[in-house]
Amino acid sequence: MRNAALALLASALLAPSLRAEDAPVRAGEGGRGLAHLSLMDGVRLRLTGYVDAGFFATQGDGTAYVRDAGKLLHPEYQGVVPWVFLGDPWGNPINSQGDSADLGLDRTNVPRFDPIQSAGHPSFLVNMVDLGLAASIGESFFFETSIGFEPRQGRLGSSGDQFDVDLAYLEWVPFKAVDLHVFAGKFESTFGIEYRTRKAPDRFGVTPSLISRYTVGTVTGLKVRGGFFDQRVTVNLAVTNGGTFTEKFAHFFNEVDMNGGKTLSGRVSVVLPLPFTAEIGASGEIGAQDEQPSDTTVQWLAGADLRLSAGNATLKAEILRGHADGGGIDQAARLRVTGWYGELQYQLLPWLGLLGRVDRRKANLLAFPNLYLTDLLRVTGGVRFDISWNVIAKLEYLHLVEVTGPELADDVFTSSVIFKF
Amino acid sequence: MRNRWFMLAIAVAAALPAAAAPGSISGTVTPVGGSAQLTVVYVEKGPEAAPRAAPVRKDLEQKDTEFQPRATWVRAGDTVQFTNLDNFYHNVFSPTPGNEFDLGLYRGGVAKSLELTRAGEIDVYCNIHPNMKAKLLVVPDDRSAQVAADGRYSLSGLPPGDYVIVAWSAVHEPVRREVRVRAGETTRSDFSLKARGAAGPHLNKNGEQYGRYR
Repeated sequence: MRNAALALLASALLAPSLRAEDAPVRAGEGGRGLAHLSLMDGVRLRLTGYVDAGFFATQGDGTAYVRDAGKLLHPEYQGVVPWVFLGDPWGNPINSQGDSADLGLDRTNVPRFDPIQSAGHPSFLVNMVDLGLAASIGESFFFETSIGFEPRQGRLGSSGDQFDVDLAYLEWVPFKAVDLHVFAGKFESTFGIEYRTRKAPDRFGVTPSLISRYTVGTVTGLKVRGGFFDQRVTVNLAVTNGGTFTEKFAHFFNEVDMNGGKTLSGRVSVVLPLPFTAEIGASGEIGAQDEQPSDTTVQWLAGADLRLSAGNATLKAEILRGHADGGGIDQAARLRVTGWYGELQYQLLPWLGLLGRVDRRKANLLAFPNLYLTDLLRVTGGVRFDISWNVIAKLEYLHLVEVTGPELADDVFTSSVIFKF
Repeated sequence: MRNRWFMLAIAVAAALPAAAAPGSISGTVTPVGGSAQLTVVYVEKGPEAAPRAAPVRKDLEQKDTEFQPRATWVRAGDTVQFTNLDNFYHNVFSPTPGNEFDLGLYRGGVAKSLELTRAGEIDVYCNIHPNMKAKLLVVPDDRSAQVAADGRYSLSGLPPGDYVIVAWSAVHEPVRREVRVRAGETTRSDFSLKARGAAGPHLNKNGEQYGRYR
């Protein structure tokens, strides 16, 4: 009897029967369910946004790096740099923005920018309150802005509540029959594919990949996007103030340019003519390095991406290589980085999704007088519950393996509940 | 008495209009360029149609982020059921003037139905996935036929008169033609359909570009 009940429950869960809605909708009556507010002729406004709240718990003190005291593990840096750190300060994110549970203390116990500062204690957190305003002007012009609010404590080392104008751009579609879009303002990245799901409601899991810090930053400038051959080939080109970095530890990003050199970036992608979705892309970005005055100090990124989708399964993968010259002791940091990730998403049931991800990042980051040496492998597993179209709950566990250097207690359990509108 | 009934029958018969024998239209439809999975020939205008048969329901599924089939047709008054067979949310909407609708977002395993009362071609989209496109043809009445695999069609039982008939496919330009049907005769009308030009990108249900992920 008990087995029969279990079998019935299992069949109900695994093979949900089709559920018909109440009464047919009649076409042409009542128009579409437009969610915008008409202001005046041809101008419509729409308010969007989401709230992302979660709970996280980390191993250890919440940090994912350690100081190589006395340079015992890396004596080759004796006399080269004052301080050597091992691990990845942003390797143990707890939310979609990639915030670490704790960034630890500076070498001299000087407070550093550390928005969460959990000190390894389990905590609830409102990760983000996002408000967006979209305005359409006829069919050719579209304006969107998005502002993110992060409620944070204001004690020493943390600036307290933050807000960020994340997006503010005008989009112009000059031709009706040609898929060509021109953007001006602060818009989405042109690099890779992870930027498409950088916000919590769009991300399948909770946390970003290890390389997202280089690829998902919104940038200010001009962009042109074209879709060709029935949108099977897409070309994105942008000229912007700075790169697509969001790296917050050594800062490779300027909202307002500190130099005269602009950053050129672009991506070309092809959707292959296969019975399942197969998109491959190549991205590049080069320009004067941010956070320094010289026009000839260069930072660049090169990468490739893949997206396969068949039935309820989607596989995403990206690989990149990055370089920043560095501006010397008093200026911008120097960076050499390679990284990749592969992420498998499987929607087991209409309300239940499973996530598996493996990613790796190898980096040598000199932000004088600190040198960060990273070789991190990370394995992530997650579960996603689509409670309704606008309420989503996610759970995730991240296991970090320091490939070189000491193994740290820095695994993370994190969760997120999102309400979007 | 008998003669009286006989005379009455003659008088009634003389008073009634002569019921003309119906005619028909038949022919072939030849697509030029582009392969049509579905081609329909229907009467757009003509003498008053007979009361139509009971409404039916057709299915248009959402599977693997596509509408399947990508084109279907119904008669005015029929219902189309949209069943989400993917394990994630889809939306179904149309901006086609006169036949606008929005079935909203709904998860896998849920079906929603749409009653179509106004004839015409309807573009059907998903508000989340811009690549999902389908075409629905709503014909006015029963005087319609799906073209067979060999390209032949036949519209029969048509009262004599002048008609406008249309040959339609989702991937070809529809062709309209005036045809005169005579009592008891079959009028032949052959069509040659040219492929439609590439459709430009469409807007989402709010009349905006799809998303910012470009």
